[in-house]
Amino acid sequence: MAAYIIRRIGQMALTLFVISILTFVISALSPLDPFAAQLDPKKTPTDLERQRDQEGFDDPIAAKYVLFYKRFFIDLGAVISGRADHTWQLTSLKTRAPVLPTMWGKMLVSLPLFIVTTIVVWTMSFPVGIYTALKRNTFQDRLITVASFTLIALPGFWISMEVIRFFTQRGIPILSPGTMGVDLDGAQGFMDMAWHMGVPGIIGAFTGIAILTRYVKGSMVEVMSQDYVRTAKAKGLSPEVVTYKHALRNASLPFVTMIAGLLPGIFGGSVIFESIYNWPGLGRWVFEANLNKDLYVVVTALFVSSALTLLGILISDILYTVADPRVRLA
Amino acid sequence: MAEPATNTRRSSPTRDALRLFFRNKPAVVSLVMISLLVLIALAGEIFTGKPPTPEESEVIRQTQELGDRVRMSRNPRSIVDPLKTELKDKLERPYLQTLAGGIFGGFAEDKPEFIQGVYAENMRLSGAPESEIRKLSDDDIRERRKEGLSADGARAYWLGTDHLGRDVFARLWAGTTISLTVGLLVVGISVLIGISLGGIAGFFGRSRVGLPFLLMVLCGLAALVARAVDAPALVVPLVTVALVCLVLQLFAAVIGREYRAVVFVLGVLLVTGGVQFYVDSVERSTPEGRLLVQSSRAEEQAYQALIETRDLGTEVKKIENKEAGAIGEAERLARHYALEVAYARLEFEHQRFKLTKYRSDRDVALRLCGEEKERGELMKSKGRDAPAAALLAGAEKRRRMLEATEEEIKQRLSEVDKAMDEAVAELEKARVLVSTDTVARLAALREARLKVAQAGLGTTMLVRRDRELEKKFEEDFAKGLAGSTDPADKDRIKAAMGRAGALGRLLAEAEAQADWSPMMKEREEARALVKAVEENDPALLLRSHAWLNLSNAQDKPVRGEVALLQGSNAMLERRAAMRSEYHTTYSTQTRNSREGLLKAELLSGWERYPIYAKLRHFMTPVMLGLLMLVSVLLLAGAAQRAVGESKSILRKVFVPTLTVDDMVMRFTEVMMTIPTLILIIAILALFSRDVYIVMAVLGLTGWMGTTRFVRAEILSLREQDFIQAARALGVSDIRIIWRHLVPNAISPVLVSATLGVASAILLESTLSFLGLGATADQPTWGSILSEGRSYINDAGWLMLIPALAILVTVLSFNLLGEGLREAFNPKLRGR
Repeated sequence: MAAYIIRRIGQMALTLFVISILTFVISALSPLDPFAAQLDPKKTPTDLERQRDQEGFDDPIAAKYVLFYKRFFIDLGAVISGRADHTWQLTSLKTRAPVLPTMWGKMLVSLPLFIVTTIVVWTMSFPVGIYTALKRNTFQDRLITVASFTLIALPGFWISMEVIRFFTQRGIPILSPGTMGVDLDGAQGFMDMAWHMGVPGIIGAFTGIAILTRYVKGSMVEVMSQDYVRTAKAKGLSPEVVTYKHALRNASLPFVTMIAGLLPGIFGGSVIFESIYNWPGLGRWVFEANLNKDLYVVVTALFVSSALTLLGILISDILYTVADPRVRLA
Repeated sequence: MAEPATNTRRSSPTRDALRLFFRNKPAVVSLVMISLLVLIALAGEIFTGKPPTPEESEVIRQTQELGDRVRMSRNPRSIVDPLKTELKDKLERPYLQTLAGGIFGGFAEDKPEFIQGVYAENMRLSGAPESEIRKLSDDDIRERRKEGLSADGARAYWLGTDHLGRDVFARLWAGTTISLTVGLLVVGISVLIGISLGGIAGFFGRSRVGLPFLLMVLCGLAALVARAVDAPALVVPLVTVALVCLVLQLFAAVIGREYRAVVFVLGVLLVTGGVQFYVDSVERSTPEGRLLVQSSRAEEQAYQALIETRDLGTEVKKIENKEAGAIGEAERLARHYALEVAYARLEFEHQRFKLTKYRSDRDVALRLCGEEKERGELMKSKGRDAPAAALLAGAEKRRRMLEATEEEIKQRLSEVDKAMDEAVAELEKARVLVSTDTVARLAALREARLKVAQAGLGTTMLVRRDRELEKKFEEDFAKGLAGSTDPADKDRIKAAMGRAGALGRLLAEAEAQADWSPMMKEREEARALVKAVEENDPALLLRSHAWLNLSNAQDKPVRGEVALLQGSNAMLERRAAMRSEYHTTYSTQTRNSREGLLKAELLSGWERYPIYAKLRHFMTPVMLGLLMLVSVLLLAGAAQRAVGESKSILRKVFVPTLTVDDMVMRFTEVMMTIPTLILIIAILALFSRDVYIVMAVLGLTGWMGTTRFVRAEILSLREQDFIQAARALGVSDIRIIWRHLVPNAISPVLVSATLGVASAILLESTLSFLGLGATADQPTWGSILSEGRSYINDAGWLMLIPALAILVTVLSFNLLGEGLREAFNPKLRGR
């Protein structure tokens, strides 16, 4: 097991290295100048020029790559060792805010929404999926199938806009937590967040519900047609026991892998909903950085989320062996 | 089943699948829906677009009569125009809604109570007694609604209009064409890549590639990196190694009689070379192409100049750090001077670029004259003598005028070239001087050289004086060009005349200022001065000392301090100025002209090279690259097999390394790991907004799933008995792939492609909504939706209608895909 994990980590490091080159080159190819996008009237062209020198703007791309990752890992080391007096090396080209602490802060903002969405998805799709699997080829099954396809086909941004209109026309504020510049904390802050999370959490879950329901159904249907289920039924076990004890436990195995795969979803999955609902989280941050050609933020986001994906895959593989004794790691 | 007899008699897997599919009602309905959508999209291709104005139609008719090809940027068959704005009709509500009595939420002014209220109010205002106000009947209400609709003379828009008064119906229709095209092409690209890579990984996966292949790939990549990091010395050896490896593999393949792979590789190389050659030759033989090449080069050189100043700045900083307060005055001056020269160089570059542009504009004007002449002769042959004669005479006159300017431009170009050469030479000298720490020599030289530079800049100033004129000239030309994308000859003639006039005036101006000689003389003098100093003329040295003493009259230590501050600051200031110069002139200018040229809109001359514009499309290198990848992989396999069977010395070189499967799948893994949406957004941030770029990016980032399951499918298929049997029979690989593997593996590809279309359409609309998708003149469903979001409270239909279109389409494709999946999945069959 240990040897396996070490080997996997080695492979992952190699993959991550290739990814780091690929993503950096793609992002650094931009002909546009992030410094020119700074709209600070106090900055003279000379200041910008000095800044360009500091960030190696005119350097060859390989030098930029080395510079970026040197700073990134110095900062990462500081984050891991928890040094408080660290002067951050990696700063956003546009706002000059340190990248890693900002990312952490944004992630803390995104996390609640992400958790709510995930909980909604998983609590909705399992019962519905199992229900449709049991009612296979009936009217209910077809209805739910078509409904879930409709949910997939709904443009999420449009339905969000309509819902926002619905609520705002009735004077119910659902946009942007901590509005009006009120700085809430403690219980109030929590309530404010919880209030604003409901709608984006549910609408953001639509596609997830639809897709996961179909997965659960497929998995259940497959397991229910296995011989051992038939045997269990033939033995005269009650349908509940067969369904929930024999079938469901095996049918939910593939979903163990999915839990860890959710990790990177916190980055990319929320771009649209965070933009629409004015949620100042990770997705919006990365999106705006992209628009501002903020190279360091974009590359950091790509790198970190790729690393999270790889980590997720590793964790899920390990979880799988724990959950399913038939699987051995080699 | 209705026809059991026939079905059981002739039963095949495909037939079974189809039968199963047609039992699935939602899937069949979706199929019908999609067919309808495709028909609508095809019709949209024909019937939407910008219609020509009556005047333009007349021109088109005349030109066609003369036998000329006409470029159709307008669509004469157009019945709806998605781009036409009617501001007076903005946010007009859908007529259908009025007809249907407010199904989509309804409007206050449509509701009976409202109409009743208005009626009552009007009656009261006109002084009618309360008793005369009756309750309106349904017919009355309908009548009043209609009146309200036609009161301001608005025409009926079936689906309303948007905030610019554009017809939503027309936009939706045109959007259907674009959105469906995007969806289908995205899937086309990704399926193509997926099948190629997956097929190779599945079929040839277990074979290992030899060392030469690995070396070739690594050297190729290293050469690319070396070029990117400005290490040109490394590029040549790396490329040589890669080529040697390629030749080695070709050789091995020929020895092993694997001719097919060799032919394939050579064919791909030939096609790539041919494309490159054709593109180059077109660029060399047309003024537009020359301008394109020239502008790219000018931009590159200007950037080099910019980088040079940076290097100088670094040097200055180094000196400053070396000994604070003790900067050699000479060094400082030399560096500043070098900076001046670099700046002058940038200036010259700019001038040269401008002049080249002149020249190419002139060439174009000349060619237009030639075309006019041809047209005149054509008209003559058709018996229209009077206008033909006028046309011919005009063309001839203009041609003569234009040709006269050639000398002028040539002279100026050489002048600028010379000045620039000098500037570059100065730069070199200044660099040398840094090491010789002779203050006097340097000061004298500086003075002398500054004079040279001034003389050179004087030349530039003269050219610059023409700037006003130049601007006017360019404006004229731009106008003319804008006109000439239409087939309107009048515009062309006007533009050509404007150009010719401007050039003529230019000529006159230049003649008036013919006394270049004083400046030249000054230059000669300055050169003599430099020479004298270089030969250590004591008198001059003395003078220089005096000059230097004068400039150093102030307190030295303070100067040292100030210099410390000034050294790199001055550099930075200069560089900032240069950069803004670079950005405002070169970058934008060249980029604009390049984009214009590539879009084949700038000059009507592109219609002569229709293939060129297509080859210059950014998808060409992508597709060629894919072909190259596939062919090289095949060659690697073939070479390895050939060597493995022989016992030649090559065996020692062709050490088996990685498996093909490993390479392909590791790359797929890398692509799958990178979060797609962020990657897409990052790539899209590189380009200007265009829905077809979105399409390409979606295609290039969406192939991994297909690759994986095509590979899995082929891996499982190739172990099956019928493939083994075919092998045993000696059937060739190609035949096995085409006759046995592809038909069996195609159905899951079909399923995933169908689902892929749905997600591509949805993703495109999402990107458009985020503002990364279509341009303003590309009405996709996503962009219509996105434009409507600001008016959601006043004009709900602006979002509702495209959203419904997306919903229906995506749903149809999903249901169809699901139906296909169920029909073709053998596990579900018979249940």
